[in-house]
Amino acid sequence: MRLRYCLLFVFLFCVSLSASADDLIVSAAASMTDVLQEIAKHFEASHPGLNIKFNFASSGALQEQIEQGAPVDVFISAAKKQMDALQSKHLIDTTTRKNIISTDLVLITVNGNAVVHSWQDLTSSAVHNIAISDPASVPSGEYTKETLTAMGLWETLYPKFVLGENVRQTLTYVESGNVEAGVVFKPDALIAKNSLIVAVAPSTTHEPIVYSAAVVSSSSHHDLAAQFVDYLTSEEAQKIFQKYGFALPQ
Amino acid sequence: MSPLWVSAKVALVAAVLVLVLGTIAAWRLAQGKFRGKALIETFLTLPLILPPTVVGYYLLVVFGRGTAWGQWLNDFAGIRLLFTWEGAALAAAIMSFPLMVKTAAAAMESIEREYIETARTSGATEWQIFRHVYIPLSYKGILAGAVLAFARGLGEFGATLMVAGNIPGRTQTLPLALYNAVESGNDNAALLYTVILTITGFAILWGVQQYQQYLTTARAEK
Repeated sequence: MRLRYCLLFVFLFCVSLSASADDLIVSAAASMTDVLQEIAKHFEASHPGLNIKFNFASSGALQEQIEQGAPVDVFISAAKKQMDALQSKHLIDTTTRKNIISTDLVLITVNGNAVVHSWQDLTSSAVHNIAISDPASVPSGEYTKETLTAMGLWETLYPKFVLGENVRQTLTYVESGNVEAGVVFKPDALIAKNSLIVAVAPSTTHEPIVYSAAVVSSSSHHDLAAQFVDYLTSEEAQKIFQKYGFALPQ
Repeated sequence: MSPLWVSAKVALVAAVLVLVLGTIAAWRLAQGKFRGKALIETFLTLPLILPPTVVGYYLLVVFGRGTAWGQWLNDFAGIRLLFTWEGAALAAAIMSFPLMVKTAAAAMESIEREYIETARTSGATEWQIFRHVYIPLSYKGILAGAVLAFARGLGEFGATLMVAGNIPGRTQTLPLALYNAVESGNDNAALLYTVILTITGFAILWGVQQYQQYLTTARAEK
């Protein structure tokens, strides 16, 4: 993480140079790249002069950055593990922590693939490579491992996995056609241009996929950041989330 | 220690590939001037200065399924190089090719022209000259080139990552494992990999340098 941390610092330093007093820096899970930019526009519209700057990466990478002291105001994680880790280190303001949305884990293949129609089809010899996110640090990878283990497929499929560093890279692997199938979150699959969803992971095979948001303790815009987190649970924001394939938090 | 095994496999196969093709290329270059020699020399040296990611990108385009050619290659001919250690070996071979060619060509160019001319006038074919004059007189340079290529292949990162991915046990070579270890805060593993790579590189360079020095003194004594 040291390299990422240095690069992030350079980026955030430049960002903070250009940031005026009313700017928020939000570190958010990669799957929210499109939906948050739209939601941010609405929030900015009701806060003239405010500019929200986003830092999208895997939740694991973002967690490490905050642990290393990255100057971030809001953290939005795709899994509990990363948020809990920060909470145990008192790096987030617990009173501001909220569950904002939930989503599904889906199996996707590239357009034109005739082999994969279900999770079981992944074991076919016509499937050489399956793109999943790295289970060690990426939420979509963690949930993939959970689901495939519950289905009894994890060990069998292990030699076929191609690991992505975040869910968007996993998606790109599938879109490129160089892997036969991949496992991503539903919103990622919905913005894909060249892939389609063939199956959804049953909710019995994994912990609920709940995204949470919180204000980072070291934030110098605590109140504004808390307002933004609250806004994410508002009806207006939730409508936009649903448009992109997210659902209400359970 | 699977990164060690993957690295050894990839670098060894790359070195063998480069040894064979590089020796032949060096031979053609050492033979003398021919039309387009400068152009070909430039192409063969290109991987030395091109960013490895550029080489990686070319390989992705050629061997991936993004083009009609690629789809034919993958699905019809069954040649699947992406996300495999073979693909990593190819990437390493391309990146280390210039090192091999330059070293071997230098050794071949230093052969006394007399020997070659004599062999030619005696009626030997170019191939016979290659086997019986070039190789015996420059095999040390050829080997040095192969060893350098092996070392370069061992350290290949950018092109490997793009073509073969970073898959533990399959294509995760030592440099990629090192990157992962640093990323996940595994300092012990990072240190181990760094030490292995540094010692190996140092030992190889030391050996080759000793040989180069021996060459210069031997030449001076002639």
